Amino acid sequence: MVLLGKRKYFSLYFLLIIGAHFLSAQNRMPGENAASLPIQLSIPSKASIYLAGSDLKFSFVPGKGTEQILTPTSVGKLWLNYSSLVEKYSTNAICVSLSRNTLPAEILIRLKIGPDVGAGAGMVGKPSGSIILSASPQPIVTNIGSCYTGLGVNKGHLLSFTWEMNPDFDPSDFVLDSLKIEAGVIYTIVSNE
Amino acid sequence: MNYALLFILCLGLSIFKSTAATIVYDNFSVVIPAFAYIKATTTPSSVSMTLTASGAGAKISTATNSNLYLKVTSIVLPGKSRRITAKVSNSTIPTGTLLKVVSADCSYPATQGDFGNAVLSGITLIKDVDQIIVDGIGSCYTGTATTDGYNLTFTWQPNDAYYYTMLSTGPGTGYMISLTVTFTLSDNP
Repeated sequence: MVLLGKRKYFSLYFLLIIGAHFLSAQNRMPGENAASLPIQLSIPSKASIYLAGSDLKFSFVPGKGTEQILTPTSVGKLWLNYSSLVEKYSTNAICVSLSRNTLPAEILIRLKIGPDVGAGAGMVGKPSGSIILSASPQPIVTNIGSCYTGLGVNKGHLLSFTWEMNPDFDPSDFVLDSLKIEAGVIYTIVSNE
Repeated sequence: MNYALLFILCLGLSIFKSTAATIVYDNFSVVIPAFAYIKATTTPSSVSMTLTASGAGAKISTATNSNLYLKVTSIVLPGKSRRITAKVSNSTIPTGTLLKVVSADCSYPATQGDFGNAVLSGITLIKDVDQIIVDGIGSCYTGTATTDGYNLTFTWQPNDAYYYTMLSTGPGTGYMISLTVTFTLSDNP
């Protein structure tokens, strides 16, 4: 029994010596003069829009965000800029709606959306041509991939607002420019996943 | 019996004495073997970078990270020098982007040796290809405190010519890629 115990200890010592030898051998290997560092790279999805132009008026609507104020006498031309980073097989769309439905029924606001002028890069969106603003959101630029339009006037899409009389009404009832009315327009960028 | 015991004792003492007497250090030499040690430390403890556009209409801006300090202890043979090289050693850099790294000269305030010169133009990292970021390192130590050593700055940016096209038709966003960058302190040939 005692002899067996000693043998066991001997084997253990032997293993320790072998192990120590391997450890010291590893320390002499190139691991000592090399260092590794993990790096994480990520691109989160993000989209944002900006309006550029002269005579732009905005106001903040609690719960809805920022709205653009339009009046019959405002310039009515502005540039829609955006940046967009999307996941695979996903696109963004920009929609507009009237934040307050307070226009007289005789009056319409038409929005014409121009094509992107090419100041940026990537998969810029397709304009919807022309729409009549309403309280429900309507897409004005769709199929926006990962792209940017550039920032400022003469970049992105030209938006043109025109105030019109509803053809069902007699135009002599109103003189548009003299009306003290205003409309609030809200822009949203949404994902079509 | 007693004489025999005494004899053995005397013999033992004499052997012990003579052994002790022969250990005379009249000449010795110190050998310093060539030695190279490199360590990567970051504060905070990781390097992560995110690509994003700074504002609506703006393009993706360059991401930078300067958390990394490389610490080195180096002993070279006379007339020899070393260099630090960097490479991406697993995974691949996302297509359409460039990952660059540049080293500053060693920051250790009390100069202790020959730290060599950082390649201040930096490099664009390539998978499995070592490129020099610091050269001409002699015998030195860089210190061990948090901001001791060679401060490295990573930049990650779109390769403008392809990036947006690639993003729109390729992997898109919302992913995270983990890379390993390996730094090697090796002898100059």
